[in-house]
Amino acid sequence: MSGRWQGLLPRWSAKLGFGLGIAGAIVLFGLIGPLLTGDPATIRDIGLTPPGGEHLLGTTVTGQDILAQLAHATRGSLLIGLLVGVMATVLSGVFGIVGAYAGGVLDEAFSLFSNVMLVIPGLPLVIVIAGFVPPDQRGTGTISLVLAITGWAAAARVLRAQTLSLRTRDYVAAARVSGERTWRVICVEILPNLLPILASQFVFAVVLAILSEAGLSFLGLGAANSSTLGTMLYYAQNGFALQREAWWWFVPPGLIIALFGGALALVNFSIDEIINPRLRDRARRERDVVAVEAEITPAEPDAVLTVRNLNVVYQSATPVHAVKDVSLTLRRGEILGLAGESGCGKTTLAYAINRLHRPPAEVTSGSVTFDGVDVLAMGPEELREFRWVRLSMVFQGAMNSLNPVTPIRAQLQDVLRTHRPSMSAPDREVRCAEVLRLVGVDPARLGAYPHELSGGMRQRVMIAMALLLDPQVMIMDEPTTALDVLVQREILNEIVRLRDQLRFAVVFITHDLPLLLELSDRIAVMRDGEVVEYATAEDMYLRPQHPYTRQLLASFPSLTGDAGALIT
Amino acid sequence: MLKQLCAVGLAVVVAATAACSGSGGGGKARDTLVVYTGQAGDFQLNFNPYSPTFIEGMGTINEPLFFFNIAADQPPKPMLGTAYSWNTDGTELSITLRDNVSWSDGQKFTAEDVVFTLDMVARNPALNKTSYKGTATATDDTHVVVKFPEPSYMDGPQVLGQMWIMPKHIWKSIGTPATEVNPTPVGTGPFVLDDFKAQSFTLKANPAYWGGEPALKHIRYLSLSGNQAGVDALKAGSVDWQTGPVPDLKDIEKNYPGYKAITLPLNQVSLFTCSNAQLGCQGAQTDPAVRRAIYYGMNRTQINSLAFQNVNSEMSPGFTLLPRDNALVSGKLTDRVAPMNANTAKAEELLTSAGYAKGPDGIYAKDGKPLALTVKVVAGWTDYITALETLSQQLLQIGIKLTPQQLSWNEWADARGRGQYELLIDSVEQGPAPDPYYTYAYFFATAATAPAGQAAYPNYSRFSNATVDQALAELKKTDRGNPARQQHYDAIQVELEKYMPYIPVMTGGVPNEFNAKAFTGWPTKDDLYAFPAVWKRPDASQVYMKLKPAGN
Amino acid sequence: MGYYLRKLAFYLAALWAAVTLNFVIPRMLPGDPVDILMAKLQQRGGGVDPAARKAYETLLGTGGRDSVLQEYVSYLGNLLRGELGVSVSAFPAKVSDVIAGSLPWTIVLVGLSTLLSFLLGVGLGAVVGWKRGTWLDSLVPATTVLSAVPYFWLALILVALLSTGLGWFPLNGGYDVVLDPGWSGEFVGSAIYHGILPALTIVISSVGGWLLGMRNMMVSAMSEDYVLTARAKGLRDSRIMIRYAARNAVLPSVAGFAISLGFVVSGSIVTELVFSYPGIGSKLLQAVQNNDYALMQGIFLVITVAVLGANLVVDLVYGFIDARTRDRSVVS
Repeated sequence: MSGRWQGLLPRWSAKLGFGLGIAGAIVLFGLIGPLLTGDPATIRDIGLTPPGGEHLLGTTVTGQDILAQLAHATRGSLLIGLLVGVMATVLSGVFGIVGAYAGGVLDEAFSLFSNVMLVIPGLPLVIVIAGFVPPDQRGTGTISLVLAITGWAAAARVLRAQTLSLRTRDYVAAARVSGERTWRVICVEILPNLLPILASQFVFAVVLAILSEAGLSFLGLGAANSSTLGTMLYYAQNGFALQREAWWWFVPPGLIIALFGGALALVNFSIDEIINPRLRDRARRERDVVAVEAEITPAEPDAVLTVRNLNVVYQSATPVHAVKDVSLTLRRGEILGLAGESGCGKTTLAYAINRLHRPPAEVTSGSVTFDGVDVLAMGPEELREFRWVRLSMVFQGAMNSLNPVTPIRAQLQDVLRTHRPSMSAPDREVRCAEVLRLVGVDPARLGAYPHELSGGMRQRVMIAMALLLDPQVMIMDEPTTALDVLVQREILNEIVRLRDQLRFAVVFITHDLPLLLELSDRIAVMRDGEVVEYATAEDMYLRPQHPYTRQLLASFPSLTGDAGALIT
Repeated sequence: MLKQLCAVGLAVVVAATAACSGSGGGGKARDTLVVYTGQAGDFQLNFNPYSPTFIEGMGTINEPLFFFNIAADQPPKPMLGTAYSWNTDGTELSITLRDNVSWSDGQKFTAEDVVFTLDMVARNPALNKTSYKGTATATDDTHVVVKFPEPSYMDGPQVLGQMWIMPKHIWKSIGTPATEVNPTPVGTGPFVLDDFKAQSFTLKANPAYWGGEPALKHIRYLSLSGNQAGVDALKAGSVDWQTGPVPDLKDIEKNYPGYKAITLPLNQVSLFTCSNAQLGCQGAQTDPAVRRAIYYGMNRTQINSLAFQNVNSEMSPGFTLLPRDNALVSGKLTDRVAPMNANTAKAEELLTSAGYAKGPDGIYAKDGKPLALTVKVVAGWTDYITALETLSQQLLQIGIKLTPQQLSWNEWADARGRGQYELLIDSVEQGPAPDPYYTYAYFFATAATAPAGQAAYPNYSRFSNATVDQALAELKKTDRGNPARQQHYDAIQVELEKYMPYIPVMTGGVPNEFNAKAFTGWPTKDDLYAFPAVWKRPDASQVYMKLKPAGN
Repeated sequence: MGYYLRKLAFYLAALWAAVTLNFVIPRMLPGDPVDILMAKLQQRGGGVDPAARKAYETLLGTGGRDSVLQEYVSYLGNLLRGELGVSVSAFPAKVSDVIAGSLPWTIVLVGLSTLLSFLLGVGLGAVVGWKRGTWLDSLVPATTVLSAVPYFWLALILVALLSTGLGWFPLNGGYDVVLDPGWSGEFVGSAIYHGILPALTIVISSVGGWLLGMRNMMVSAMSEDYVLTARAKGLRDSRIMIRYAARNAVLPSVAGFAISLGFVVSGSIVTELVFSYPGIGSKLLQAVQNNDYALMQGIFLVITVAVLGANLVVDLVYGFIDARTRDRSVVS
C-alpha cells in the first residue's frame, strides 16, 4: 500500500524545488505581508514617490504605500486562486468522475453538459452571475464562483476519460462485483489513482483563476470592491502609471502573478511526470556504448553475427546488470533460439546487438561483430545504413510497432525510400506487393491502416517489412506471443519456409522453450542476464545440462503429448 | 523575418507620410486638425443629429438658428437666424433668417426648411428630445413664427439653439427620420463630410459657407480605446485636440511640447442623495441634518488635491455655475460658496440637535441605528473613487461611517434612475443656455422625478419642494434678462441650501488639451467664445471655425 | 452510423443550449439600455432634458414588453430568418452589419496569430521533445512563465517600451487612418505594420501552452514501439521525428486547437482594448457596457457558432489525420 502512495509523490528535482520555493515565498508574502505593512488605503500627500526610504516600493498617485497594497492584493489574488481551484476541482470531479463511473444516462448527460459548458463563452456568464449577487456581497467570493463555474469543463473531460479507463481495471471491477458502495469504490479505488491529475488540474485552475481575475479587472468587470493584483493593476492603469513612467506601481503586481504562475508551472512539470511516467525517461544520448575496445575476434568460419562477452548495464541509482558476459554466434542461414522468462535480459540483448537499447541502458563492454564489422564502433550514419539492410527486426506486439496513423504502404515504402533512394515509385510499389505476397497477405491491403488488420495479419506485415531489403539476419522478439495458437503455428511455418527460401539467419526470442526446440538449430537459455546453457536444439532437448533448462522444459506441456508435464 | 516585416511596415508608413505631406501643398503648415472625441471602438456611420448615436454633424454640418454659449453669459450668436423676438406673454417667437445661405448641394436655404424641421420634430416623438410643442409657420422666405400653447420663454434656447435645421428637399422623402443615418449629409454648416471609415472620418471645409470658407481645411476624428490611449496619442503628437484627464496637467507645456490646456468648470460634482422618504427613499440620508452634516464635514481642499489634481473649483450650495453665474448667486445664502475646509464642530452640532448621539465607536447613532451610509460609484471612475476614499476618512472625524461601493456603470445607472441608493457621486449638469434655470428644472423639479422603484429622469434625488416648483413656474413665464427673475432664483437657492438633496462637493473642471503650436485661435479664459470641449456640440464647430493653421 | 448520429445530437443540443442561454443572459443583466444611452449622452455633453428620455424610449421601442415565452418564440424565429435585430449602441445599425464590419479584423489578427502561435508552439515542442536533454529543455519553463504573465500587462509594457518609448510600432488602431481601406499595397502594408505588435503579444503569451503540450506528447510518443521500429528500420532522424513521433504527438494539440479557435473571438477583447483594435471583442465590450441586448446576442451567437463549427471541422478533419477515429463507431 505504501508503495502505491509513494508513486504519487513527485520526484524531487531542481525544477520542483525552485517552483515550490518561489510559490511558497509568494504565499508567505500574502499571508504575513499584510500584517507587517500597515493600512494600504492610507492616503498621503506624497503621490508617486519612487521606491526607497520609508516606502520600499514607492507610492501610488494618492500616496498609498505600494508594498502594503501589494501584500494585501497578493493575499486577495491567492484567495481567489484557492477558492476557484477548490471549486473547479470539485465541479470537474463531480461531472467527470461520478458521471463516468456511473455510466449510462447520467454519464451521457454529464458529458453533454461538460461539452456544452466548454463551448459557451465564459465572459457573458461571468457578467450575469456577477449581476445576481447583491453589490455589497460582491467581491472575491462572487468572482471566484464565476470563474469556477466557467472553468471546470475542460478538466472534467480529462477526468472522465481517465475514470472510464480506470473503471474497467480489474481491481475496480472486483470491488464493484463484491458489492462495495459506489462512493467507497470511487473514494478508495478510483480517486487515489486520479490524485496526480486532480493535483495538476488544481494547480492549473489556480493559475488560470488568478490570470482571469486580472483580465476581468482590467476590463472593469473584476472584484472591484476587494483588493487583488488585478484591481491593483486596474488602478495603476487608470492612474496613468505607465504614462507617468511610474513603473514601480505597474510592474510589481504583474510580476507577482507571472512569478507565481511560473512557479506553479514548474511544480506542474513534476506532477506531469507522475501522470505520465514516460516524461521521466532520460533522453537518448549520443553515446550508448562505453569503454568498448575494438576487438574483432577471429570469427567462426560461417558466422554472420558474433557477440563476445557483451555486458549491458542499466545505469540507475542502483545499476542493474541486465546482460552479463554473453557470447553467441549466429551462422549464415541458422535459426538461433534465445529462451528465458520475461525480465531475463533477452530483449535487452537483442536491442543491444542493433544498438537500439534506450537509456539508462549502456553497453559497458564486449563486442558485436557483423560480417567482420564491429557494430559497436559504428558512427551514427554508418549504423543507420547498417540497420534493416543487414539486420532487420520483428518486434513483439505488432499493433504498437506499426505507426497507427499512416497506411502500411507508407511504412513499407519508408524503408525503400531511405535505403534504396534510386528505386522508382512503381518499383517500390512492386517490391512492397511482392513481400506482402511472400508472407501471404493480399497486396490490396497496402492502403490499410494497422487497426484495420487482424493481429496475425499485422505480424505478417511486420515480417514482410523485415524482408524488404533481403537482410542477412532477422531478429524476432516474441513475434507470435500475442497470437492465438492457430495463427501462431501458421506464422511459424511461414518463417521457416521463408528462411529456407531466402537463406537469412534468425535470432528468435521467446519464453517458449519447447517452441524453440522445434524451430531452432541452436538455442541459448538466459537467466538473470547470463546465458546458462548454449547448445544445439537436439542436445538441449535430449541432454539439458543446467537445472534451469530442465525446469523450463518441465513447465511446458510436453511436445510429445505428455499433458501431465504442465501440472508438475 | 520579424525585422524584415518591421522594415516593410516602416517603409510603408514613411511613404504614406511623405505622400500626405506632399498633398498638403508643400507648405509646413498643417491644415488637418486631428481630434479625439472620446469615441471608443469603431465609428458607426450616423450623421443624423437627431439620432442618439450620431457621430458628428451638430453645428459642423447642420447648423442651429443661434449659438448659445454656455461657457459665458453672452447674447446668442446669430447663425441661420439673425434676430428673434418674443411677444409679450411668451407664446409667440418670431425669427428672422439669414438670406444668402445655400445648402451644400447648391439648393437655396429658406424658411420652409426651418418650418419643415420644426414640424418634423413636433410630429415625431422619437426625435422630440425637448418636448417641443410649438407650431411653426413661414411668413415669407426669411421669417418664421413659432406659436406655443403656453408661455415658453425657457423653451427658446432649445428651439433656437438645439434644433438642427435639415434640408426639406431631401428629408421630406425620408419616411422614418428617427432611424435615418444620413450617410451623405447635406447641411448649411462650415464643413461637409469628406470621407468615412470605421476607424476615423474626415470633414472638409465647405467652400460655399455663408460665413466664408473656414481656414481649417480638414478635421479628422479618431477612435481610441480610452483615456490612456488618448494620453499616449497626445504624447506621440497624433492628436491635436482632446478633452479628458492627462497626468500632470499643470506641466502640460513641458510634458507635451507645443500643447496647451484649458480647464473650465462645467459639472457640479455632488453627492446625490435619495432624499425623499415620502417617495420611498430609505436610509439616514433622508434626514436633511445628516446631509448638511456631510456638507460641513467635507474637506474640499484635500479632496481637490488628492482626487482632482487641483483642477476643480469652488461650488455654490445654490447650484449656480461659478464663475459664469456670479451675478445670480443669491445674497440670502448662508454660504456663498461651500466651505473649502471641514467644520467639524458645526457638523456635530447639526447631528446632535437632530437627535443623534455618539456611540462608543465614535459613530453617531439614532434609535440604535449607527450613522452608516453606502455611496455608490462607477468602478473605474478613479478620481471619484479616490474622492470617496478621502471623504470616508474625513467623515469619520464627524462620526459618520461612509462606505464606497463600486458598481458597473449599468448597475449604477439603474440604481440611480430607480432611486435604489443612499448616496452616489455624480455631477449636476447644465442646460442649453447659460442659465441655472435648466439645472433647477432638470434636477430639482417635482415634474422630473418619480417614486423610488420607478425610473426618474433626471431628478434622481426625488426632491420635491413646493417653493422650488412655484419659482420654476414663474421663471418659465419670465423672459431671460428680465430682472424679475432674481427673486425666484433666490427662493430656489435658499431651499437648496436648506435641504441639500444633492450635497455640493466641487465644481468639476473639464480639462482640454490642444495643439497650440500648429493651430491658433483656441478659446482662452479671456475669450470664451465657446465651451472648449471637443465633445460639446455645437460649441466645437465654433472652435473649428475660428482655428487657423499656424504659419498661414 | 451511431457515432455520427451521436455527434449530430451533441451539436444540436449544444447549439440549442447556447442559443437559449443567449436569450436568457441579456435579460438578466441589470439596467435599461435607454438609461445607459442617456448616461452616455450626458457624459458627452448631450442635454439632460427630461423629454429626451421619453424620446429615446419611443425610438428604441423599449416601452411595453411581451411575455418571456412570446419573446423567446419570436427570437428563435428571427434567428432562423437570420435577423439579429438592431443594435442599440450603434442605433439604427443592424447587428449583422456591426458584426460584419468588425469580425474580419478579429479573424485576421487574432485568428492568424493564434494559428501562428499554434504552429510555432507545436513545431518548437516537437523539436524540444525530440532533443530532450539538451539546452532546448530550458525553452519549456521559459515559455511557460511567459504564458503565466497577465496578457494585458505584458502588452501594455511592450506598448510603453516599443511604441511610446522607441517608436518602432504604431500606438494603436488597425491601420493608418489617412489610407483608404482596400486591397492596395499601401493599406495592406499599414494593416500588417499595425498588426505586428498585437500579434506578437498574442504569440508570446500563448506559445508556451502549445509548446509544453506538444513536447510532452512528443516525449510520450518517442517511447512508443513504432518509433523504435522506425529506428530499427534505419530511417533518418528527421523522418522519424516528423513522420512517426510528431505525426502521432500532434493529435491532441489539433483537438485543442479547435477549442482555442472558437475562443479567438471572445479572447480578443483584451487585445483589442489595449491596442484600440477594431474587432469583435471591442464590440462585445461595447454591447455589455451599453446593455445592447441585440448586439450581445449576435456576438454570443457568432462566438458559439464559431466554437461549434471549429469543433465540427476538427471532428471531420480528425478522421483524415487519424484513421482510427473514422472506424471507431462505439466509443465517443
